[in-house]
Order: sequence, then structure tokens, then C-alpha cells
Amino acid sequence: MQPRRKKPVTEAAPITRLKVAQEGGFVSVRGLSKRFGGVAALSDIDLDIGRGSFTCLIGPSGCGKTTLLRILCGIESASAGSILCNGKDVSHLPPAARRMGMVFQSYALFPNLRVTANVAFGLPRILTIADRNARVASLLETVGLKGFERRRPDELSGGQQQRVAIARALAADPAILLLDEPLSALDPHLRAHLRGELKALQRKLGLTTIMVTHDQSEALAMADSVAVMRDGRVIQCGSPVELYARPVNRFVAGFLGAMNFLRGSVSEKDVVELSSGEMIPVPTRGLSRRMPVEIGIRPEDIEISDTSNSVMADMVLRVTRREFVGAVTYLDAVSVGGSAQLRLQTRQTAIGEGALLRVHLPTARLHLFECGQ
Amino acid sequence: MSGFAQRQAPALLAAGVCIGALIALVFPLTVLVSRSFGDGTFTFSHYVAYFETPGLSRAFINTAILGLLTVVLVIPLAFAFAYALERTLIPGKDILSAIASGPLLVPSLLPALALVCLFGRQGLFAGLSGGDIYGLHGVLLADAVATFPHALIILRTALSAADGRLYEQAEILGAGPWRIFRAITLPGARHGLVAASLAVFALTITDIGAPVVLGRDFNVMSLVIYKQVLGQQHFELGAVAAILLIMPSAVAILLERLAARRQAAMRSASATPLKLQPHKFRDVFLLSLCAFLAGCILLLLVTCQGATLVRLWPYDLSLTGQYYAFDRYDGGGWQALFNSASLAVAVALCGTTIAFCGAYVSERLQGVELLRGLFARLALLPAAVPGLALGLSYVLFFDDPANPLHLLYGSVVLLLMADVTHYYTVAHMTAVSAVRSIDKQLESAALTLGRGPLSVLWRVIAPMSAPALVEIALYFFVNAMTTVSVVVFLYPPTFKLASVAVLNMEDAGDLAPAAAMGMMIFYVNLFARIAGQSLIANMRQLSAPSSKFVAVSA
Repeated sequence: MQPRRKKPVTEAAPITRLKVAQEGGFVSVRGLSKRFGGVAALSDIDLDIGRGSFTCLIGPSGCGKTTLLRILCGIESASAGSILCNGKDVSHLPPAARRMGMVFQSYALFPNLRVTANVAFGLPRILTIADRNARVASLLETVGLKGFERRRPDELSGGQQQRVAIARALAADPAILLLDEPLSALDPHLRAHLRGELKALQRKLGLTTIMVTHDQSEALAMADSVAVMRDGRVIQCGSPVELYARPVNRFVAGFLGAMNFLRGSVSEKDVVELSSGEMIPVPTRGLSRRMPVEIGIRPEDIEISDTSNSVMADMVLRVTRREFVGAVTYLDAVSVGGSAQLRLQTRQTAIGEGALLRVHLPTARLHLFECGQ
Repeated sequence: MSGFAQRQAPALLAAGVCIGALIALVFPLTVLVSRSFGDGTFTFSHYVAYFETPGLSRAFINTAILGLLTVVLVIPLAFAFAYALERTLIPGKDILSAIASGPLLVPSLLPALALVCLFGRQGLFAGLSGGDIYGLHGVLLADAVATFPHALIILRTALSAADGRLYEQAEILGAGPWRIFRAITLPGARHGLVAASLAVFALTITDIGAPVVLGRDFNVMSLVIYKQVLGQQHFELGAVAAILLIMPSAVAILLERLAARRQAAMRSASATPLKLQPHKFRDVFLLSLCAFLAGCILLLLVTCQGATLVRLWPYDLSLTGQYYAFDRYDGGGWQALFNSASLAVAVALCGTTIAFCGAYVSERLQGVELLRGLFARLALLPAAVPGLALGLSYVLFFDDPANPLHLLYGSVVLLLMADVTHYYTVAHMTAVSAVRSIDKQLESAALTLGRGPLSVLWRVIAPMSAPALVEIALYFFVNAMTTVSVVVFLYPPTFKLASVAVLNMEDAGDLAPAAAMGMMIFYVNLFARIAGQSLIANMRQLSAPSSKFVAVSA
């Protein structure tokens, strides 16, 4: 899956799967826009989704991810653009004809109907009662809800309700499963557990799945590919590893995982002078001198050097706050000059507040962003 | 259903209810207003004429005094009663609240008749009152009894929503019970107090039952309308009086909306229920007060019942059933009771259907914003129009030969329409809150499953709203049985009604049969109420989570 960009934004942007994008995926979105009154909710979205893949749409609230999902399944109509599913234009088909199953954020189960009636709600009316029952039974078996047939939604836990919603969405044998923040209504413990279950179910069924979420750890853990959205546009997409390792801009970098940003400007080719004064070697990709830039580095990539090895030290920091979370310790630190703030992640537990640290910023781990990106 | 019909159904439904509202409410009211300003030419002369007639301007002042005094008398008592039921652990709450709601089931004439039986010249306690129950104090008492349960319902709702955390916090901070009452309980119930006061005021100034029986020289606006229209065929003066009555009701509705909006901000989603605690002195005091008030209401009902069963109240107390031979009196006989019950059933069925459709239109229809907004506003209007004013406006609108709807005039359909319209607002609000509580995503979910909104309406929204719908039907039924003011100008001579029969028999001096008819209305309503409540209880039991399936976290 890739957004088809009009032009590459930066050299760092990984466009490794452009080929797939040009061929078109199982689901292809082309030039999709949506306006609510005068407000653009989605602008010119291009997206390709591979058959059988698990795709996450992620972004801050209001970025248009849920709107995109609602347009995909047909309960909202697009202002412009088209949706191709398996090569066929489905943009103008009614929701039921698109073969897309949708699981709503609140699950939208019919509260007065029992589990079986909920699952059977959308089954074709021509089915005999026996066929209908058999289909419902097998769906409930698939999602692991055997024995709960006679219950009503309020007699089920959140996780069980979610599985009913999935079974109901699967009832019409969809080609694509759409999930709108399916885990957000659950408590954190359950969420982590169900994340694995959901992924396993998707693998078992081999079902092309698109999930909306605002939780980065969910997206990174579950998705084959991730599309990061902001203000109605797709900013970057690719595999979770790609996005984490090579974010195209500050927004993506900060949205997926944590990153420190250090202001500075290009001092000479492949050297950036930080505003705190340090000179940092980093490939400058032909940016001109004096160009204001930001250097990004993730907390776990900062190396704390041995005090004896002064050659490797890029900066000297003073620890201002220490946060021990178990497996690792986070250190908030300021440069001795005081102008740069950094967060470090370390497995050393002996470093206390007030300690002086000499740190090394490995060139290969640095991200260079032009300011204003 | 064809695609076209499927797509146009929302618009058609919305347009339908809006047209209905125009015919049943807006057009007649427009005619009423324009008639009060003269027929053809615009003039204030009718208003001037009204206030220049000494008796009529006096009635205006009397009405205001009566309304205010009733509020002052009823609200503190109803508040204490509601407080006892909602905030204390006194015994016998069920029976107290059942008795207190008794006046809802009878025409407002009945408490007035009972007062005559007790304090009138031949009353049981004539010595206590000097036989003089007629005038302001009598009307005030009768109206107080009639409006008490209305105030009680509103205040109970207001007091039932308490945030237990606030009370615990106040106690921890060392506030005494009186301080807590003033700082938390009263402000929390402020909206209820305002709403109940306005409701009592509006009900009192528009009531006709009590003044007809006990008014004598104490003339009020509702009597003016009644006499000007029925007695003297003086429609313009009646229209002026009706408009003058609509004003305070309209202002009351407006104030009530404002208070509701301010109150909404005070509610918190994370409120915890209040733990009730016994308090000896307070509980004994409140229990005695409640028992006294319930006893008064019960006494009135029993008196009415007793007076109809004896030969000559209170002198010859030998039993007789002669006053139940209604056919011997002017009023319509048993047929009137049967007519009333049939009409009430029709009103309940039609009214509930329309209220549900109306609530559905204003809450769930997509793509007909303009009509939705229009209807949502029109639905609040009937509450501001007193029954007599509505009845008069129907006379003026439908009795016009130039009106194509003229054929409805003098038919039962018009009675039906008037009853449904007059009681629509409360029914609409109840239906709206039932429909609103159902997840708005359900239609979207059904759409992705290949089912239209009608599927959801039929299979989910209708069954889930069923208990509320039964409550609405009950409300329509009881009110259609008891109302005099809405139908008194409209009923055809061939279709007499029980509530009007009470009025007419009382007017003819047949007090005992009038009271007997009133009691029959009470029993019909009581039966309907018990049947309806048990139906609702059944439904709730069916939809309640069964105990063997207690939700377990996965």
C-alpha cells in the first residue's frame, strides 16, 4: 500500500513499494475527497491495499480516518474520487453490494436482539431457517462465542460484544473487513489481549482488513501496513518498521513512537550546528548552508558514552528527571548550555538525577527534517 | 418497497407530520388570533371592549390571583411530599404515591364536587366552613387538589436525580443537615421547582372544572371564555380571553425551557446514587404530613363515592343505586361513558402512533433537516395552548363553511384531533427521550448489512420504545377521559361525553349523579392505569437481563 504522491517530498521518504502502488492493490482509492459544507474532511486520498493484508489508518482525532472508512463501506458518499475493489468501481454501489463488513466503534449491536438475531440480521432473506441457523452457528464458532447464542448484548462483556459485531460483519461473507477503533471501548488489559486475538482471527480467515485507530502501539503491533493521516490527507504509508525507521516528517516521527527534536541549521555539507552549539555530523542531502533544520533521534538510539572515551561524545547533558518504568529507565536531560532538552532510554538504573552524561548520537540513527515540515 | 419510495419515505413522513401539525394547530390558532383582532379589519377594539367590561377585567385579575395562590399553596406541600418519597426511608411510599396520583384520574370537577359534599351548605363539615365553600378559597382548594399530583411528578423527578458524592463531600466538610439542604438539595431541585410552579400556574388559570362548581361570584378567565362562547355566542370576546390565557402559558413554557437548559449543565455523568438515611424527627414529621395529605385526597374520593351511594347526602344515609341510573339525568347516560372510553382508546392509539412517528422524525431522520426542525418546534406549542383556547380555535377554524375541512366540524374526528393535539407535547417529549436513547449508529450498521432504516425501526426501535409507548398511550387515555375544556365546544349532540356530562349534571343541580359519573371515570382510568402499568412491568421483565446470564469480563 502506498499513497501515490505527485512528487517525492524528501529523499528520506521510502518509496520502496511504489511498484505495487502503480499496479493497484486489491482495494484502490483514487483521488477521494469529502467536503462537509465548506470543510474538507478528506482531500485527494490515494491508497492501495493488498489482498489479505491488515492495514491500519492512524492519525489524531479529526484527521478523517473514520470518514474514510465510512465512505469505503458506503454509508457516507464521497464528494469526488473513486473506490476500486478487485478492479471493479464500487463507488456508486449501495453499502450491501460492496461486500464490505463493518465493525463500528460502539459495535452498534441491536440491543434488544439476541446474539443469534444480531448475527443473522443481514443474512439474505431467501435462506431457509436451517441454513440461517447453520451459518450463524459456524460464525459464532469462528469468533469463539459458542454457547452465548441466547444472550442479549447487555449480557455480554465488552470483548464478547466486539466478537458479536465481528461475526455480524462476517455474516454476509465480505471481501473486506472494516474496523472502526474496535478496541477503544475496552479496558487496557483486555485491549492488549484482544489485539492478538483479532490479528489471529484475521490471519485465519485471510481477510483483507482495514482498521482505524488512534493508538500507535495498536497500529505498530497489528498492521502489515500503516497509513498515517492528518487533516484529511495521507501523510505516509508503509510497513510499521519502515514508518518507524524512516518517518517522512516530524509529525509521523512523533506520532509513531517518541522522538527528540533538536533545532539547528546546516553548517556545512553533512554537518549541522545545533542551536545549543554542538556540531553534529549528519547527511544533509544537498540542503544549502544556513538552512534551518531539526535533527530527530529516538530516546533508545541515544548512546550514553563511557566517561573515559571523550572522542565519541557529541553532547554533555545533565539529568533533570528520572523515571523508572521497570524494563527500562527514562531520563529527561538538558544540555549543559541549557537550550536543548532530550529524553533518553537506558537499561542502566544507577544514573540519578543531577548526573552529568556524555552522549553520542549515532549518525545512522539521526533523522533530518527541514523546519516547517 | 421500490427504491423511490424507500428514498422518499423520510421526506414523506416528515412532510406528513408537519402538515398534520399545521391543520391541527397552526391554522386554527392563526384564525383565533386574527378573530381576536377583528374580522377582516385589524382592530384592538375587542381587547378594549374586554377590559372596559368590569366583570371581565375583574376576571383577569382574579385568574392571576388564583394562579399565584395555588402555586404558593401547592408547591411547598408537593415538595415535602416528593422529598419524603425520594429522599427518606418512610414506610408506605407505594400507597402514598398511589393515593397522591388519584386526582390525575378524575376530571377537575370531582374534587370540587367533593368539597361541596364536605363543606357546602349541606356538607358533612358545614359547621366548620359556615357552609360557604364558594368563591376564591373553594376554587383554590379544588385546584390545589387537582394540580398537586402534576407538581408531585415533576418534583419527584427533580429530587430523584441526586449525586451521592456531593452529599458525602458536604458531610465530610462538616455541613449540617440544614446547610446541606440549602446548599445542595434546593439548588439541585431548582429547575424542578420552577417547572412545577409554572405547570401548576398554567393548569390553574386554564382549569374550568373547579370555577364552574365553586366559582359563583368569583369569575375567572376560563369561565369567561366558556360563558361568552356557549352562553352568548360572543366569539370575539372569547377569542380575546383565550389569547390572554395563552400568553402566560407561553411565557411559562419559555421560562421552563430556559431553566432546563441551565440545569442540564449541572448534571454529571459520573454521579453516584445517594444513600438514603433515616432521620427520626424529619421522618416522623414528613410521614405525618404525607399521611395527612394522602388522607385528604382519599377523603375527597371516598366522600364523592359515598355521596353517590346514599339517598340524600348527608341526611338520609340509606344506600341506593339510583344516582347511577344516568339515563334519568341530562348528560348522556351510560352511553356518554362508553363514548368517552371509545374516544379515549382512539386518542391513545392515534396519539401514541403520531407521537412515535413525530419523535422518530425529529430524532432519527436524515436529510430532511428543515422539516425536522419545524416539527420539533411545533411539537412544543400545544403545551402553551389551554384546552378552551384550542377548542375555541377549532370552532372558529372548522366551522367556517369556506373551509374545505368544514365537514370535520361536529364529527368525532375533530374531538380526536383536539385531544391528541392538546396532549401532544408531553407525549412527544416522552417518545423523543425513548427514541433518543437508542444508538444512532444502528441505522448505519443495518445499511452495511443490506437493511434499510425501516428494518431498524421495525425490529429494534419500535420494540425498544414499547414501554414508553404504553406510558404515552396511558397518558392520552386518562387525559382524554377527564378533559372538559378541550371538548366542551366541540362534541356533537349525538356523541355526549362523560366528563362533559359531569359538568352538565352539576349545572342542572344533580350533584349526586354528577359525582357518580365522575367516579365512573375514575374507575375506568384506574383500570386502564393498572392494566397499563402491569403491561409495562411485563415488558421490562422481558427485556431485563436474566439473572443466569450475568455479564462476565472476557
